[in-house]
Amino acid sequence: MVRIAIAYDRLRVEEKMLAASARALGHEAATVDAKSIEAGTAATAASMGLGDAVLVRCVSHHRGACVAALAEFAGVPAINALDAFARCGNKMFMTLLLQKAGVPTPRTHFALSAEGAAACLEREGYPLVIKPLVGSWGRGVMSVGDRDTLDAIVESRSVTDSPHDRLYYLQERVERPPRDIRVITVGGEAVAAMYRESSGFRTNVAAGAAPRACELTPEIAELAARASDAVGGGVLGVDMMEDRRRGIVVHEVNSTVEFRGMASTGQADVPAAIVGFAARAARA
Amino acid sequence: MKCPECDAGLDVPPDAMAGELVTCPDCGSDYEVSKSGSDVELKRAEKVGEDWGQ
Repeated sequence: MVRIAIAYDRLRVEEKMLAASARALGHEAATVDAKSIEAGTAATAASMGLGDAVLVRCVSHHRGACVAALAEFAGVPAINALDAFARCGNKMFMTLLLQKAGVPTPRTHFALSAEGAAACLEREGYPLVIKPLVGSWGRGVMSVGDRDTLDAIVESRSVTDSPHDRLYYLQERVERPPRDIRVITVGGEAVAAMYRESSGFRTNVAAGAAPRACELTPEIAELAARASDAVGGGVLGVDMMEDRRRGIVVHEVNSTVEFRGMASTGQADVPAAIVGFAARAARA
Repeated sequence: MKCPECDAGLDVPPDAMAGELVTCPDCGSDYEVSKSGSDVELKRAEKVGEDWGQ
């Protein structure tokens, strides 16, 4: 029996599924409101209620990274590790790691100012897709088809106080079917996949995309494993597109993966796989 | 329970877990369920942050 803490800041169905699965597998499960954690440099796993392993499930990237840092400070395995949050939480860092590892990924450009973004678009041509460096659920993901659209995006970003809004992540708009593929990897191994169908170019379930069953083919599984290795492993959501010219490309790796759509596609028991990984990490 | 914003009746399921959200059917305000023993309280839910979601 392992004591598994599930740290959340907004309790969703995934956190409930993980707690239920942990208990069904004979472990002790406790949900911990990450917003209630108040810890100093003398903090211990016990004082923070983090058990033998902690599943970091915060919707806030920065809060999740802080929980992972505190857990690792206290000697408790964090799933995911702080390194995974650092690598996947920023889309630029994540894309660079994928490319460096030779994982096929869409052509992507990084501009550190609005002027640089404009120059990039004039050089590369329209359309490109702008994504926020941090966060999303599809929010702020926009297709830029002409200069007027870019100017409108730059103008809207210029009135915010966010430093991320001064940085531009621009990705080619891949020609693909009206869907992408979400693969869950646990400990470097692909355990489940689903299509996310959408009539728009955003395929986030949070933005209305519909989950559909997807066969976890050897090609998809092997690509997901390589993407997982590129960012250091853990429990990850690897997003792929079926590029009509190049075949499957990986466009994102997510360190706090939502898997509610998987349940409706008759896939493997994702919560059980995650809990098993946490239990093994606790015993290691 | 009553919505702290508009005073409408709020239905908090008896099996609601701490951290779950309830939404007022009248004004749409979101609240987070907070539990202390058998006591249930409602805290105003955090707004969606820039770094939320992936």
